[in-house]
Amino acid sequence: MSNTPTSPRRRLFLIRSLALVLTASVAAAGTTACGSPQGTDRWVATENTNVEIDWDAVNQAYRDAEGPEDFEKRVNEIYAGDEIISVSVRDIDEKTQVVTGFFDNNEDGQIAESEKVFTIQRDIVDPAKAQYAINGYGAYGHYHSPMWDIAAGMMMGSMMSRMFMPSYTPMYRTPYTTSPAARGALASHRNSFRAANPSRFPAKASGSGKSYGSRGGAFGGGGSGRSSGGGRSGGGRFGVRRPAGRKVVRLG
Amino acid sequence: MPVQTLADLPFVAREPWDLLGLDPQRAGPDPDHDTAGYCRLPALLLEDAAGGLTPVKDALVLGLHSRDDAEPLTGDIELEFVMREGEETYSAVALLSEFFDKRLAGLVGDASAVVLALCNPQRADLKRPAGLGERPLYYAHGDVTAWMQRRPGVRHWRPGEVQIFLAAERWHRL
Repeated sequence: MSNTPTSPRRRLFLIRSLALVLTASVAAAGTTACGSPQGTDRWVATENTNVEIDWDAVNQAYRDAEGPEDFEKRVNEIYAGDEIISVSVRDIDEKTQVVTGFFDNNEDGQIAESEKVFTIQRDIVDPAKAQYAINGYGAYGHYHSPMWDIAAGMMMGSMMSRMFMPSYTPMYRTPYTTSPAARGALASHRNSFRAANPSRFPAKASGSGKSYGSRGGAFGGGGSGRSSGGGRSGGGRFGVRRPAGRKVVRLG
Repeated sequence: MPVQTLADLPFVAREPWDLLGLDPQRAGPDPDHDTAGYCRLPALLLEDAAGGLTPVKDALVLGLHSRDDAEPLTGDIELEFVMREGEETYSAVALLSEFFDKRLAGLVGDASAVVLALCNPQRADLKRPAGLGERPLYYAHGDVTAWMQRRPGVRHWRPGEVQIFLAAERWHRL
């Protein structure tokens, strides 16, 4: 049965000090490191910055996603940093699937160990039950979620629910990975989302020592109005109640 | 004058949102929806209580209604059509099997599949009707409710920018 997260929202604050230097060059679409006058290598920080990941929101995004493309959009709406998070989905075997979020710094579509942000490993326990856990990597290596149980009958997006279908076969033996071309589109979508939700993403302060971005905010429950799309609207029910006394004609 | 035969029953093509009672101003299902007819959808998702999704392409969707408190039938469902003629409202009833015999062949056209948007509270197990050719027929156990959902990234409710679902306890394919 479901272990819905009830603990306070988990945020991991990444502190990048003046001493932290990584040499990977970054080509994230259209952005530069906050306050850095020295180019686009955002792992070279000249001041303290904080970037949060709302792990509860990532968890909810994974539960709600309709597929890898939907999940990567949701993750990039959650992540408050300048980088684009690419997503890889790989079926190890009939029971195990691993989703990896990573900073594809060199845009080669490959997951370098240094690029990993998180993994979500899902294991099917039996035809009606599965479990998964989220683990952070690198600067987010301190984060390890509990093991969440999921069961057939729970409300979830089709990225997860598909595994409980009788006809399920793994779809990602050949992994799905965010293409370099898609990263540009993700950046545009992310920027539009932030512009439409200014309270979640306050404008970066000039000068040093200021944090930028804010908690991503857990996505609300199902229903209309999600700005990322996916809101539902109800339609008709295909049964009728016959009022007492209504005339009935049997058709021949 | 009330309709007397299935052949004379007005069962017409409708716009999908009209047939399925879809309204972006309403978050939940419409329990008073009684529109009958048919539509053709290039894509449709059948959702079951377990969260499973079955995609159906090029579907002929038959919007039909059963009575909530009808007597159970073996292998069949009694259909109820709410008819409004002037100020008079009456119910026209027929068995689903009879409806299939009289009307199905004239409706399928070039659809690749036929989907019954029809509540089946008695969980009758239907038999495959004649007139389908090679097409599958999908029907449900339990209530059937229509939903629509905006595609990811879409902010407006417009036909062509939504995914349409029919949700039921369980879906069967014949």
